[in-house]
Amino acid sequence: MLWTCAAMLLAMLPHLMRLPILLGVFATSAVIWRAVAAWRHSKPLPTWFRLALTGVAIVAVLSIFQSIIGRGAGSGLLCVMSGLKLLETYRRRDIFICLCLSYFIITIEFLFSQSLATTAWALLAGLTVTAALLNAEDRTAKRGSRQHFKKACLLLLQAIPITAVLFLLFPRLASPIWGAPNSGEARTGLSKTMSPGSISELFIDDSPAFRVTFDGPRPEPQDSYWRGLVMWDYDGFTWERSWAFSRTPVHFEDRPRPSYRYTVTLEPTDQPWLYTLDTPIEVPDNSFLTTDLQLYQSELVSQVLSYSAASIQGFVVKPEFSEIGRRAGLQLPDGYNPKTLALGAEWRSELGDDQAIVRRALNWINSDPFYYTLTPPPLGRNAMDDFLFNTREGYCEHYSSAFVVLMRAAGVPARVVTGYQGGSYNDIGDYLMLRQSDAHAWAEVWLGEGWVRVDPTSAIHPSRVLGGLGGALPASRPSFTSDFWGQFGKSWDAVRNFWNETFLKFRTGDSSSSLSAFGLDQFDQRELSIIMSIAIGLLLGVTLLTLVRKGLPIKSDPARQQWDRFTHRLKRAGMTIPECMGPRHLAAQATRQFPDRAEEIQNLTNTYVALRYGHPEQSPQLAEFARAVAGFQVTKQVK
Amino acid sequence: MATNQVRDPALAGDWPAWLRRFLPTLLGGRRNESLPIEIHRKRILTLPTKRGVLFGAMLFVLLVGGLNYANNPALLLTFLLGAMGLVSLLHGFRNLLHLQVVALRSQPVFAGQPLHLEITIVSPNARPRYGIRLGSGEKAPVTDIEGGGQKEIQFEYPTTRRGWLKLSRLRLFTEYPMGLFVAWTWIDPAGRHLVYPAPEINPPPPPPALGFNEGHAVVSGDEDLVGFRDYRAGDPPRQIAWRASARIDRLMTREVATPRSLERVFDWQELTGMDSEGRISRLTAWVLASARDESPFTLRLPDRTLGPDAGTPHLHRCLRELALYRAPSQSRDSAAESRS
Repeated sequence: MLWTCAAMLLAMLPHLMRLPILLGVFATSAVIWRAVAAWRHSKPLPTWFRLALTGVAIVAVLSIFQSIIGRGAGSGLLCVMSGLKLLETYRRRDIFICLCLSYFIITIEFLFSQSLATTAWALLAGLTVTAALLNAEDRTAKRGSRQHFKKACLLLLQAIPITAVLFLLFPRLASPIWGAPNSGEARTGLSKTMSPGSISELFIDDSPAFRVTFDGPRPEPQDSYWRGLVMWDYDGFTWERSWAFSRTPVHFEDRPRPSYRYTVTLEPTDQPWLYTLDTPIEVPDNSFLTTDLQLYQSELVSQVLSYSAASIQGFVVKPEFSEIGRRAGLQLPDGYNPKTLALGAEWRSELGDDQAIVRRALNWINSDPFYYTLTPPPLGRNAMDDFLFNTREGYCEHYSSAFVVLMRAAGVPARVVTGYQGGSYNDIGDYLMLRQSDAHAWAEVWLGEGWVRVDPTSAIHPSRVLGGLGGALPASRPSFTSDFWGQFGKSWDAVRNFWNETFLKFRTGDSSSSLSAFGLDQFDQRELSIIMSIAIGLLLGVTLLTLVRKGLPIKSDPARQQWDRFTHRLKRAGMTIPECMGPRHLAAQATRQFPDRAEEIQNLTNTYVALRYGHPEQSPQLAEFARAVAGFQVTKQVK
Repeated sequence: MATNQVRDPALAGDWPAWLRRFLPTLLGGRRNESLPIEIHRKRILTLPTKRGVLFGAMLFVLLVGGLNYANNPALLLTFLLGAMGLVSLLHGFRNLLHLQVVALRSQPVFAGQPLHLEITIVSPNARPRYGIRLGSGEKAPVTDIEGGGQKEIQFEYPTTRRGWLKLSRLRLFTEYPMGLFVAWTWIDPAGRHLVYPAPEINPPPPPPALGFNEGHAVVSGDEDLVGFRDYRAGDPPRQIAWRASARIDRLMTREVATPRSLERVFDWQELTGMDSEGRISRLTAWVLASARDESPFTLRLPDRTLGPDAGTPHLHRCLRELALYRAPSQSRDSAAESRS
């Protein structure tokens, strides 16, 4: 019983770290109570009390999660119910049900995290639950727990080949039967709106956003801009995407050859947009490139996703609806930021040329005391006025927002782009790693033929960068140092990338899957299933033979072994030999039955008797006897 | 109390021969095997238990969920658990393989009492066997056998009639290691076990010891007189010495030395008006009572006479004869009892 409690606790561990405190405490105390009760042989709790606890549990889950459907609520309910089930487990059958529930709990964890660490924990927890199962099945209670654990490990090792075959060959579903689990919890990452101050918490988050492997050259760090969302609409504080432009597909008049081809492995975001290198021109088939060059797919990215694309640097896409785009790029809300509007108008009248206005703005940022800091003072209602004329402290969101407002005020169509910038190259895994702390916001202005990227944050004078390297100026992102921890960090991330690429992405039947290594990628799913069944049957047979052979009979002496071989051949030829027949008797009967081999039989028997019963110094050589027996052939007599 | 599952012997043996040839193991084709019985691979059957089915259902649900979400780690765990279940099937099979049943012993009991049997199982190779059980169900006795060693399992078998008892098939099974699959085998060890007749409850007292002159009361002269003693309640009136009692105004009885030949005789023919079984049970009761008193007796049956003798071996000989006695006209004995 203690084993069962320990196994269930181990299974619930990751859930407890994620569940609300109340439910976690509930489940844990139920398990611990049961363990203590088992140790002290207390009586079970009365039924009414348990029913009351069940009611309380359901009410708690409902009130916290507002439903019992969904990942979070489901896992919470499962943990709590398993704990309650444990409280009423006093028979062997109930123990089995509890252990099955533990297996469930372990597997449910994979809905939340599929990392290498989680998988390793799951294997360990599964092993413990299996050991508890073996312990429950041991009715004589004479075998120790360590023996059960070793047996569970042995079962696991013997099960590995069959598991590999199943995993590689089992047919997968082309599309889900029912939808992806809704998370109920927020993921980190960029959101679909931007307002100055909204992504500050991302700058301290070093968790990976996505990894990119390049098929060919890599962009320079200062060109490493990864587009996410393009925001047009400003209400005085928040930037949002344009409803119309986000649904209009892009149209390339002449598509140039891309300079970079790459594959992005995106960590789950629970959002539908994908990131591409500026400027994308080739995108995956099942995705949608909008006219403002955002990339969307139909479902939320709730699992690690890999996709390939191609981009070209410095290409100005000629937009389709230029008039509409220009007008949308000049939209400004009324009644906000009058000083900024005045400055913009002043520049327009003074300079008149779009390019000059842009240069003027960038020079202004560079020369005037604008500071970069991750902890700027808050802004008031006229946020841009406050920023540009009062505080002059902020980070990329402030600068890009202010720049775009200023450009719009000066009559230059502009828009905000959010995404990631920079990244660090992991030479062990040969990929570029973009972290959440690389999140960035920049601007695009309409110059000449189309939209051109301008990053106002990079115009800040380097001497005015205050603290915080995350999300800072391009090309200032430090790469990993070559000390031990840097190497270790790189290796570990390379392992995680390998895990994502090879294991999590695996689908039976994919043409690019690792099955091609076995030459099996020509078969379709049905044929693969047949191959799988045959392979499993073979493996079971081999395992059985291995198991059965290990328990050899206790070795008799070698002479006896040869004699047994001899009698076995006689038996195969049709002679019936009772158990206790001595060698001489046997020889006599054999001679009667096979008169043509009489002499050989006699010689063999004499040799055997001498070997076995005679004096050691007079006995013939065992090897000769063995050879003689090997050469003895007798066929079944046809009567 | 460990009770073997009792199968009606008639059920197992009446399949037509051609069917038995095709499904020997299932229909108990092996009858009356001489010990030692070796359980080789053709004898062992396996099936999932109820728990195994539940485990399979759980795996199915996990599989469907994993396939739906294309969650590779979940699929890996599901496949791993399924594979471990399959491998445990092989382990269960191997657990029974090559076991040898070498002995089946019992002590005789009276009809109606459960027969206590002890079956000895040997593990011939160096591998220990765990969780070997006899019978079926939750309460079947369980034992572990260490490698190369042997163990005895005690179990009981109900008895109803006297005579030779042939056990129906016994079921050796194991649910080792995970309880998901059960591997079992049927064994039908040869050998019969003796069941003594049930003694009559509250029998009348056994006939008194008779002297040389059968049929007459024991009143002898003074040849055998040993002395007088005080009258005790229950002394037969014949024994009272009236003249001596009159002399001393107290009742006295004659004490007579019991001659060696004055032993009890239990005669079949004397029990008139009873059927055979009634006679046998009454004779059994008398025989037991005499053995308790340690007094010698003679048992006279229509076909043989045993005694006069006293002591345990004589008792068991008599009980055996009573158990096996068959009147010439009886035809109702079952085939199991008639094998001798």
